[in-house]
Amino acid sequence: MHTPSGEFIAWLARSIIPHEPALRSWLQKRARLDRIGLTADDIIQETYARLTRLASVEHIRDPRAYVFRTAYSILLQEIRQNRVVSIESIESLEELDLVSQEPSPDRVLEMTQEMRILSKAINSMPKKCRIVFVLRKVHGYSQREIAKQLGISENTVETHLARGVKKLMDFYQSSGIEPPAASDRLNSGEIRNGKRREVRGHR
Amino acid sequence: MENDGKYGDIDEEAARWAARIDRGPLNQTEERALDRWLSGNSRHQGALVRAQALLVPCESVDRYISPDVVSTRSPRAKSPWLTGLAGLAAAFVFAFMFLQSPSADDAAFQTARGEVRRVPLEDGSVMTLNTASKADVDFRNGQRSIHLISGEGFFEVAHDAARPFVVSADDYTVKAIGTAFVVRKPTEHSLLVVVQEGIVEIGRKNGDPLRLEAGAMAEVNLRDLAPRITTLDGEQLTQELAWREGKIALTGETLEAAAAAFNRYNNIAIEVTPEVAQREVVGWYSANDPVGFAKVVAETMDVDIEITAHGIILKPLACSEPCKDDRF
Repeated sequence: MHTPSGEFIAWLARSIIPHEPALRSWLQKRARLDRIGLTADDIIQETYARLTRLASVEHIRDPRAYVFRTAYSILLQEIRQNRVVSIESIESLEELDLVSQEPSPDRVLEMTQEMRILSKAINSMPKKCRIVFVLRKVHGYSQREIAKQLGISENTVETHLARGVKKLMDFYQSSGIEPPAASDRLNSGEIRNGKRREVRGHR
Repeated sequence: MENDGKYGDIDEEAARWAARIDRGPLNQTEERALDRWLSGNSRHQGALVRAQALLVPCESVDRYISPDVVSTRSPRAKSPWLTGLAGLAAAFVFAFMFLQSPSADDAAFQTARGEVRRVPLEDGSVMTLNTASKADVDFRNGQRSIHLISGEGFFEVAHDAARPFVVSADDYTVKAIGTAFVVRKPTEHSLLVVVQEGIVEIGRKNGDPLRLEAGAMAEVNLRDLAPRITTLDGEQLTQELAWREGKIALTGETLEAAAAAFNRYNNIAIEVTPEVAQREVVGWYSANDPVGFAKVVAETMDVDIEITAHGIILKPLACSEPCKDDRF
């Protein structure tokens, strides 16, 4: 079995993950997936699988456009295999081009969105899981170092971490449904924190 | 998430494998099990690399801090650079003084709050002064003598058997021949020595000298006789020396203690309300970024953050019942 390299995983983290919420909402909006018995998740998992099969990602100049195109071709393939759907339900490629070739939102906005998802996910984790996850994801300690520091076994660290990643995956999964993050740019920082926490406190 | 029932288990399995791979190399049994799972469905491979990508550590803690905070601060110099530049400046000052006057080997050094300064000494040793510290260097008459007046210094001592390197503070002397160690005055009447390498000898005006080996930390109360000696492991040693890189390393200290550590370095004071004071904090933070620290704490520990004109207040999340403290 082909094992993806660390560089490839890092490339995904840097160049693809930030576009996942946009891709997901695009898929959910246009693609009438339910009529062919698929979800956005199916397409996204398959998209990542196809990226993994690439011999190299060096030639990809515009990862955002590339990932949209890949997802779209998977979608087309699924639709063709599923003859129930008439050809009219397929969105035109031109439209896809419009979406995928829009300049990516600026890096700051993307980072804010990524951080928002991350911090929401972190806040939803049980305490021990959260500590382990933050030490690995935010501070970059190795699992062994975390085990040593917290005085727990490496198995326990691994279990907490698995739970933490699953939470983060879940939050990305629901990220496509949210309204565009444009308004967040205005409210980020202290004010946003204050508001969000207040709302939560009074619920 | 309506897909949970159907595909939740793919993600769950993918998350488990991602955490396992992140831990270290798989054994043969595990590798076979992973291959089996991956070959079952091409989406499994996709879910796995996605989980792995989500586990990749953030490039730095800075990424975790909202950009607006970063931009309202004065340009954020990276600590090692800052330290390096300060050291370079100190070297210039020192060399200049040395050329100017024969008494240049008698000099006083001082750091402002938040400043960490690396001072190369003429014998090849290096003194790194931590925040708000003051030391006199006296290399005249064939001696190597440093008087730590306040604060903390890290000393990397060049070997010279003929000239012992002595750091004095109050009634104590800390003597080294070729080693690296920290001397800190936590309060007016106490002394803390951490030995990173080699051996040092702590001498008192009246009393036997005390020998400390690498990894040892001694706390001496100047009024009290018995020193408290602990042995630090590599991790703790790194933590004790983190300030040299402009970092504060926390491994389960209380929020109160962590705030005190940041307040040593910054004019923006962090205040912690009693309700959250005993929460434990972990992580590796920039010493000169109390706002960043407070934000990470707020995001990860269910603590609320309030920024006032005087500083930062960390307090419990908005109370479900009316708050007793009417400051908030």
